[in-house]
Amino acid sequence: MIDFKKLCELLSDYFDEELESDICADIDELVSEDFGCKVLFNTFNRTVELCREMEAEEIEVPEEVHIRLHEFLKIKIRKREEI
Amino acid sequence: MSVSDEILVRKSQQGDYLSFEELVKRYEQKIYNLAYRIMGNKEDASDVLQETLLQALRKLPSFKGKAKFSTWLYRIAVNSCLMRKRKQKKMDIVSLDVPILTKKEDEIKRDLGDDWSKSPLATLENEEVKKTLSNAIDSLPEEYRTVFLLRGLDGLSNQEVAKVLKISLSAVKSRLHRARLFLREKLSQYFREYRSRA
Repeated sequence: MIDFKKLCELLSDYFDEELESDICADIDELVSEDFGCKVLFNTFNRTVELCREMEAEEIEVPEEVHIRLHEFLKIKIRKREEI
Repeated sequence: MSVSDEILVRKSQQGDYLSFEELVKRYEQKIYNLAYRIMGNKEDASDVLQETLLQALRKLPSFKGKAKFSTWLYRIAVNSCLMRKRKQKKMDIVSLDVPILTKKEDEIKRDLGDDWSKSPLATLENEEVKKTLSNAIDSLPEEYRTVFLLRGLDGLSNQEVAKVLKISLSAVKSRLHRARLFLREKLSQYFREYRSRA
């Protein structure tokens, strides 16, 4: 039997799709019947969605960093080959 | 079809620079993103990127392939970030007493408030929401933030994050879950305050 306390513990697993289908069904039922559980469920879900959207935003490696990195590694490899 | 990491690693170990360069091209963006999010600035992120790939180059001959190359590389990157943070003495003191992270279920229920999930304001296009979320992520204790950021990197699974950080799967799940509850709470606070301003 799932209650609010149990729901709090299971939300991440639910949204990461790591729960058995029967437990998911119990959660869905609880959420449809209890307003407090529904608020927590919906706001937790939206939080996870917003986090995923933010994570998907790539921060580009600056061009000068990219060039410097490859030149630096080339020098290191050349030095290693000389040893 | 692209060549697998395993083949590129093997060729790199045999001294093929082009294979190593291909590995660098594959991962430099991901490492930079991770480092930027952990360190919070471009300068440190650039330094961590360079340190990580230099260390990878040095240690590659002894890489046995027991872990995935990416897992091994991310571990080097995370360690480099954490070492740098310790040096800068910015490391948070991780305490299980951080209030929202240890909130009990009855406290969560009491503070639920409105369902803001369907609000048109609940989007990253809303700069205030984006800033609230970003600040909340930054304010997570280091061990929670590292798990959270790794989980968002390159679709890493909980198991892979556990391998990168050498911690148990249950520790990863627990930290990720608490971090998400914390972020939800911070967003709820924002919407409560927004409503009271309106």
